[in-house]
Amino acid sequence: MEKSEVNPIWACRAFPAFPVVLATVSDGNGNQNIITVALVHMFSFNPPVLGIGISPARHSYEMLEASDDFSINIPGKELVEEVLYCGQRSGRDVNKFEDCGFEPRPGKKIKAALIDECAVNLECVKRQRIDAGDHIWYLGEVVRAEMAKEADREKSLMYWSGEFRVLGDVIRRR
Amino acid sequence: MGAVMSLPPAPVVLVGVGDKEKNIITVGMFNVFSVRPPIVGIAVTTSRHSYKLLEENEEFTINIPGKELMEQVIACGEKSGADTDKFKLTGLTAVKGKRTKAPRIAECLINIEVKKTRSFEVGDHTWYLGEIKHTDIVEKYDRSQALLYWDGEFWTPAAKPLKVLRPE
Repeated sequence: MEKSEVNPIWACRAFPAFPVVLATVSDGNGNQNIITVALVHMFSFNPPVLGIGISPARHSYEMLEASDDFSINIPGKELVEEVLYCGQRSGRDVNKFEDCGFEPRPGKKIKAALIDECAVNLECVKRQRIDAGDHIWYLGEVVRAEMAKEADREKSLMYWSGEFRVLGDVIRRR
Repeated sequence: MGAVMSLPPAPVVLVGVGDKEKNIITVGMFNVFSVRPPIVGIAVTTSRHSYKLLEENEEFTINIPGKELMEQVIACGEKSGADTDKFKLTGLTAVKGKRTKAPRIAECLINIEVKKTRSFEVGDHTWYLGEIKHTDIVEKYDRSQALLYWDGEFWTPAAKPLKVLRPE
């Protein structure tokens, strides 16, 4: 294939699309914040470990540093405006649960709240912290999870490099 | 486990590794870790043959396959490099790296050359992080041609974005 060289930073922007999730974290004094995270991935299956990458410039970074846990909530595509809002505003200035009209549900095993409007809620307890450059990664073991009956992969919201996407074609089902 | 398998699909990549002994590994555990500097990471099961090659080599490549390479992606994920030459098996073409020794895969949309910076274990996987040293990208790259994978299913991203935050 005919190819040309590009800047490595531009290359990072060229990846297809990654899942985008809403993570929450508590400050331990009853304040809950939501952060939109596109740097999220499974790190281990057994035990199940999920990681999120956060820029140290974010308000949530300080909260995550001080907290033992966080939640990961998987939004459907109908929540694209809320996902955008939670990614663009700082928890220093606004209450994102109130502004988005989200119902905070207490976690059963963690202090961070769960977002009722998301079809999947994963409760994570911090296990490892990785300093990877301009993002700090928090790896959490999934200690409890809830899933709505209507959870549907086809409604997934993806994000990368300034573009929200939904899924296109399924090429092969399991 | 059911809940984590309900995550949306994510990019699946072909990793090229090795100098004299070359191998291709299908990796669904792939992520961007940092943008400045550009750090990407891949993970393999700690016991696999791929693990040995990634331990022994300082460099690897990440190659983004288009959807037409799905069968090759599946073959490279199911076979072990211990007893199979996957380049021969799949007919994929190894191309010498420009700034690393690891093999790049000619048929992929993007070829990224990575120099390993660190590795760490998390549960049943070992993660290898590295800095991007060189990238070649196909003309008229379109991300909806790429393959996504999770939980046994292959997808593509939709052809048109749902919402664009800034012009590309």
